[in-house]
Amino acid sequence: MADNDNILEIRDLKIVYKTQEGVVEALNGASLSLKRGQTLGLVGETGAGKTTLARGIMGLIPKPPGQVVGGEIFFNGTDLLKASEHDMRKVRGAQISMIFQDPMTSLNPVMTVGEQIEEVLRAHGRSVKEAVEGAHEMLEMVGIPKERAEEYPHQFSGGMKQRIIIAIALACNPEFLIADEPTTALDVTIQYQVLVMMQKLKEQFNTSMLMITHDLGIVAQNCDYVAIMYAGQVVEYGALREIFKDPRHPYTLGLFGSIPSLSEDTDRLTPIEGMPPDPTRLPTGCPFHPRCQYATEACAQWKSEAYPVGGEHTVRCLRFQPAEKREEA
Amino acid sequence: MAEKSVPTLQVEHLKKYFKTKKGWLHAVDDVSFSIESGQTLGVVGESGCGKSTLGRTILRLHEPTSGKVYFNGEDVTAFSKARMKQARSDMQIIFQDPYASLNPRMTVSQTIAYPLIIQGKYDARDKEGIAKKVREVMDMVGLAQRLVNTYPHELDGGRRQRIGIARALSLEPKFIVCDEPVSALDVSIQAQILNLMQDLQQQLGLTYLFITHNMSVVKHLSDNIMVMYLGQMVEFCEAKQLFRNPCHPYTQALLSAIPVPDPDYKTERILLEGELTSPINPAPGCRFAKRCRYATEQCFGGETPVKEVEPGHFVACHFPGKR
Repeated sequence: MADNDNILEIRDLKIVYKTQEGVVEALNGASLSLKRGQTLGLVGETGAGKTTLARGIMGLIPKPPGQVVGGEIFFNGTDLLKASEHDMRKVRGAQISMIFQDPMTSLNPVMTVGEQIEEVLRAHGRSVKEAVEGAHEMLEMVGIPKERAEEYPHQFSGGMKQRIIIAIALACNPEFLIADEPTTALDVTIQYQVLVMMQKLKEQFNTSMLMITHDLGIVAQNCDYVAIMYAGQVVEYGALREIFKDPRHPYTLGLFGSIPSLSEDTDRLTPIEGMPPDPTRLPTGCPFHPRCQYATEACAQWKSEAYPVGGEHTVRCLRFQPAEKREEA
Repeated sequence: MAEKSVPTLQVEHLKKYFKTKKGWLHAVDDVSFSIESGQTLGVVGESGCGKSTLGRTILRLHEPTSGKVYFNGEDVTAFSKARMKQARSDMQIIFQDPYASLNPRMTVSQTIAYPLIIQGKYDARDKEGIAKKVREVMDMVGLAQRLVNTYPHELDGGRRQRIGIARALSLEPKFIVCDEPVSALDVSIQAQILNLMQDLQQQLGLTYLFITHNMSVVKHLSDNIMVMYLGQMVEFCEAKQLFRNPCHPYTQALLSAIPVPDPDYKTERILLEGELTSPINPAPGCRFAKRCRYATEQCFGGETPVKEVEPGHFVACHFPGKR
């Protein structure tokens, strides 16, 4: 059914939130795949649907208002959307784990950090003794002395808290890790410490990883594949070099033009004009067309789909439609 | 050094200590620098290094513990309350968080007009004059006129930050402290705001103190850069020079830790152990010494010398430029 090399394959995922202001189309036919042992960088701006995608994989979309209205999520060949809540509880934490964005708010302030790691291990069937030993082992692994297991989150700095969250996520040695902006709240030197540590643990356990970020620098230094998201769709996907050396989608080009370069001197940035669309009222056709400098009338009518442009690189843009398809239309 | 002309801003031995239960917190500790008219000084450093406190102390939003701040040659720290209020129309600030720094119960036009009335530039009854000025400022920052009666919650982050800029600009200041004005924004919006701030600087001849932790933003905008660590200046020089030849071991580590958006970019990356130590009752000697790979005994005591390693390039270190 699904490709065996792929630990994760998402096809045409559609998730909506029904709110008073209307139906928010958070994911609008997102597709991507991730090979075993690799890291996929998921890049996009606020509201692009990155976190909804992650929560969708974990089965953590709040219902209501959220609702999965279509698509498939294959994890090791089985469709998670068809799994029962009972089965999902076994998957979560043991096979798929998630590191949340904000280390300051995702730890329980009234539980010691040791207990918070033990909790995961206990939930997945370890004895009390095993759980305590496991928690100590995990703390040491992320570079925190095990004596500090008795301390509470407020006694740790931001970088240390993020290490504890990573320890919780990795406690059951999951095959697949989702990291939702794991270093956004951290300073750059601490961010580097945490990323180096994550890379080491990933290699040690051969974990596959989905790294959600808005920082193209982090992607370039840490990922093997890249998916660029805009308005609930993956608009460009490919291997790291395909995206960074040969970006095709006008939105991707716009993102690269927006970051000031450290190596070259630029007088002016070339930002993308306009604002991201209101997700309750997405434009017809290509969602990027109102901001796109290459947009034609056809873009507003186009039934958005991804086109291969060589290698593993795909682009969701009418400009890359193969000639034979164009004639059909 | 200031013989030829008076710099717009000159800060001398500025200190701001806060009293805490555990002792004195040295937020800004003996910082001196100057900014020439129409230039941008970028202040970089990690959270807790005192960069925001520095900006606020210059505007006397915090009273300095000691030290002097000269604005166009006049000592701001000696100003009376009334004189300070007057001076504030020349010295403005743009805050970091466009979600928290706007009054949610004031419309765009009220927010922009408020400083004009407070400062007595316009009579509150002069509705027409105020409306005209508000329209002018909104045009300047690229806010559409139809937004004039909207409230902040109706607008996205980029537009809110434009309101923050418009509010600072309405008084036609000469000097603006920009406290992380783009760090809450998405990259594509960030680029729009940075371009806007650059254009305004050129049109109006503004002088900026630009506080940020984003190294690529600071390089893009600044003429000079000051790197801070735990309340102190560790390196000060021309922007390009800092990236070409970082001389303080902390600056070197900071620059090397930036993830560069190019998969083929390879450089020696310096992994700093540990984290920022507490700025409460700091030990004598260099505050970076504990994490520094070149530290020797002399770094842990006495004064750290500030050396000029090339013209205009100052480094507070016993071994500047060591690699």
